[in-house]
Amino acid sequence: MFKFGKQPQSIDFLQPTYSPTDIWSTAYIWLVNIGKYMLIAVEILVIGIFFSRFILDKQSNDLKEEVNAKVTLLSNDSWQKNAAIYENFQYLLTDIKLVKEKQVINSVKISELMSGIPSSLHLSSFSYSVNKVSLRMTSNSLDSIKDYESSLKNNPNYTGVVFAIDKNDKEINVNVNFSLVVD
Amino acid sequence: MEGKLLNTEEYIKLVKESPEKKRGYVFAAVTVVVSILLIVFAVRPTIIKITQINATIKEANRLNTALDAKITTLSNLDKQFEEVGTELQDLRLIYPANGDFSLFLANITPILSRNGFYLSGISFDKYSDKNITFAAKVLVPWSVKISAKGKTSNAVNLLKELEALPMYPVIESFSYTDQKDESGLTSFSINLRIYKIDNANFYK
Repeated sequence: MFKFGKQPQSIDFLQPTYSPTDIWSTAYIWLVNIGKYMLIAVEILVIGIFFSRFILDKQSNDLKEEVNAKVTLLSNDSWQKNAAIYENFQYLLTDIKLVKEKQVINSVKISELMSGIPSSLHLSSFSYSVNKVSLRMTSNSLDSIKDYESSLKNNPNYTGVVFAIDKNDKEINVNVNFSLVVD
Repeated sequence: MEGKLLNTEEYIKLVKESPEKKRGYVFAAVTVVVSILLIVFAVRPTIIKITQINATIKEANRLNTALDAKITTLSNLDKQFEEVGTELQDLRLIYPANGDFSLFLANITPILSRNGFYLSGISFDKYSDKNITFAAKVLVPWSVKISAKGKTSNAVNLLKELEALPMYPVIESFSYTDQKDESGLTSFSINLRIYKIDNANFYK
């Protein structure tokens, strides 16, 4: 088909000694001279990519197995139970810290309120409820009551101070209502 | 001379347009096309697959690291829990999950008697006020009403000691009138806010 054994002998240097004329011979010569390098390059590329895929596939499978093993370990009843308990304690400790830091100690406020009442006023009833204060007092001195009223009204920590004074023959009854200013 | 030049031009034209040269171009083009087809239909899908595998590996690595961290954290917590386990167990009494306020009750009586008070009555109820400015995740406020008798002079100290209890109670309301009983003691009403946990299995 290719007639390679019958190449003509010639001394005409302007013409190649052998020049294939049929398509198969030309294809063969192209393939063995230039095309092969292109195909080899592409094949090397293909093989490289396939090998890298095998390597990556192996890595991926190994990782999946590792992850599955860890998930199985963590799915164990004992681990799950412990994890839930630790999580609960974590929440509880956070809440305790929040309660400790955020909530206001009202006994200090009540102490300040009670110690702020002058000794000339006799406290007959005291009520504190969620920053609202109600006092009932008796006294013989109107000046003491007025001093106390002005001290409460000038205190920036108290608001809505209302004094109701009822005077009878023996003593003066005073009802005081006000609110504590919340920070 | 003119005939010679004409022959050379013709010859160059002949070489350039020779059928061998054309055939060579065709085969080069065919090889390039075959290579492109190979790249497009074999290499490209593989590269896409490799990219996907890479993304899977990255995700698996992230998951693996997270699981490692979780296992390490749980192991460390196991050790810490062994060390402070007894202290943490005390929290069951301080913040009960089953409504058992025995520790609170056990603390109330000595505090009252230490301040010269005695307990007239105590009751627990749902907390209905909205005086809490913070949002706790597990602790639920609960209301305790204490009726006690004692001296007015000791009231402030009593309130301070109550608020110093380990369950961090807060005085919600406090009231008394100056009416004394036959023993000379005044009746006090104290409303406290305490905390509990609304999950019976919280510590289990």
